[in-house]
Amino acid sequence: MPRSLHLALAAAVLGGACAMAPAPTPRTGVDAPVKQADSTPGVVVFDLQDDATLAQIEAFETRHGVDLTYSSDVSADEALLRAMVDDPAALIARTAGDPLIEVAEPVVELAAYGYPDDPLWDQQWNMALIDAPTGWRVGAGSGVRVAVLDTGVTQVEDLGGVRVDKGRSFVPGAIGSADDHGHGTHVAGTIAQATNNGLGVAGVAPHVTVVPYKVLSGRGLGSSDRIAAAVDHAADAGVEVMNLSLGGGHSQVLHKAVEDAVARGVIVVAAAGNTGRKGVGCPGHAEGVIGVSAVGPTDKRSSYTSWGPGVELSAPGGDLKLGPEAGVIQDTIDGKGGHAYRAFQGTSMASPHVAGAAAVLRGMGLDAETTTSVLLDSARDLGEPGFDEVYGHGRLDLGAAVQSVLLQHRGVPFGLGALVGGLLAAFAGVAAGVRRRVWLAGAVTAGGLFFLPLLPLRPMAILDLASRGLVSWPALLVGPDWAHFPLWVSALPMVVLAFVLGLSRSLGPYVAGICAGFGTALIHGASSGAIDPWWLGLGLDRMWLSMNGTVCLLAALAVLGFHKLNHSKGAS
Amino acid sequence: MTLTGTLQRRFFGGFVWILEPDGAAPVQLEGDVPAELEGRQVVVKGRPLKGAMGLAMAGQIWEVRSIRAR
Repeated sequence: MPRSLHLALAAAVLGGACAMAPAPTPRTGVDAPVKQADSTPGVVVFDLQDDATLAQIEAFETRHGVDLTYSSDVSADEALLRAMVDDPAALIARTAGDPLIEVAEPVVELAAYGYPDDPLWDQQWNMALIDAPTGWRVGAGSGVRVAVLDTGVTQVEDLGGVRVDKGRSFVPGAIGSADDHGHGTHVAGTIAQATNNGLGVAGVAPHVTVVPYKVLSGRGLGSSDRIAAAVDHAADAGVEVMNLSLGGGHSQVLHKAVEDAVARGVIVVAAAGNTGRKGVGCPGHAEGVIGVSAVGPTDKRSSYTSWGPGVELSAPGGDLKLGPEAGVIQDTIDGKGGHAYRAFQGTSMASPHVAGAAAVLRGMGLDAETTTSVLLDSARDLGEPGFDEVYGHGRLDLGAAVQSVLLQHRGVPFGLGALVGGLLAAFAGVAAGVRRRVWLAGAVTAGGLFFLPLLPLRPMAILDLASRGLVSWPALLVGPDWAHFPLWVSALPMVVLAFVLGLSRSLGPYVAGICAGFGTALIHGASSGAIDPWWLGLGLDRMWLSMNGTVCLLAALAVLGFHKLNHSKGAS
Repeated sequence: MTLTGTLQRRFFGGFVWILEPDGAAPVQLEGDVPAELEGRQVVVKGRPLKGAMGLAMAGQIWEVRSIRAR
């Protein structure tokens, strides 16, 4: 095949992807490159024992020959100090074992090439802590609907470019879902704030659609039965993620409502509570709900957070005892008809970080169950090793979660696609040049160019599409659940492709590879449970995927056999 | 019903009154609470608001009928 034809084919595939893309929508988080966190040369931060006296710190300086300064005006309470040195690694090694040290590490600063350009980004320690920029490299929740059950949501200035549904009120006397308190808008901002728009602050998943449910009054109070009704309504409306930054009592009705929502495939995230004691209230402790405790900027448990059974994850909730900059800042209503950037604290602020992260993963085409397990498995372990009742599985780490998905959920199908494509081509005994095209097309079709988001490339929608296997394209183009549409996750698209283009002498080998890759992805989806076709259950889903995957492989073999036959005729 | 404990004012996206009874779980107070009682030992007469939920999540929510310094 001429080189120009290879390029034309690649252009056609990518062009087709563009043509399939939905109508342009505000995309505010993928416009500029992000430089990953780097160690700042020559700076080491020491988190010393909180009760370290000035004399002990001075003795430490003398002992190790360093000059320490407090990291900030509010770092004295936490004994957080930094040292400027020529060789940070040597200093850390030299001071290892000193009983005064709780933690010592090189200072990490998020150096971005002007990304995001939200002017208050440098105050958003919370976004850096969960590594949100790595999440934005693969997506920001496109097509995912997130219900925010709270005091309502008002589309303040910085939320201007974000999709916010009309929503619904479950508070007697309240018309519409506008916020008359400020809490709900703040929570929605953490989930979906317009990012890289030159205004204010950033959010975790700025491409989601926020669905506001006003369940709390302007005084911040609501009733459990109406909140339960809103949960049912949101689940009926097909939201993929639900955030409940509320609690304070126990309700069997609400408990059952959230468990039913989880059973229907909704990811329900709830705040653990702010009692500062053991005991997670309703709805955070319900089965299947991701209960979230709070940490401050130093990754330590916030003093107010509730903990105990029910905490699955921790996330940045702020700690205003350390100063206003240790709160979680977002744009919200100011109570005077305008808006203001306010620093709040609470597990109310921690929970929406997890809801936003769940939306990013759902937007990558993962189902609810896989999303939840990836979030828990990729969390950064804090406190006692392994699971504990304070931090759950650990502190949310969106960057690690996204990289885990890329490698485990796409890298494996990529490798399998290449292997199966190569084996089929070898089995069919076609010419060497043809064989290379088969395994290459198989790999790309099965797992996509999964490594693209890990490269320092300018994030673009087309790269997002190219980094996915063909099976999960509908997740980006239509919505996350469409990755599991039974007629798409079947042999039908590949059989049609084989008949239409498989007989072409130049395109046939690619078609065979695509069929092999698609079939491999279906079979991998069946064995891993990553694909869950609608309407099918009781094991029929796996049978469906396995059988259709096999038909795809047979289609690939048929196309290759046809070309081998033609090749033999041509040679004779 | 009567509760005794220390009255605290906390900020969770809005200020709320919290009563911390000695050795018992904190409760969130709703109603008229004089600001000058902050930090003091108080006696509260009121009742739990059944089915009430809120954004503060700082304990069971109580409706205050009367409150005085201890």
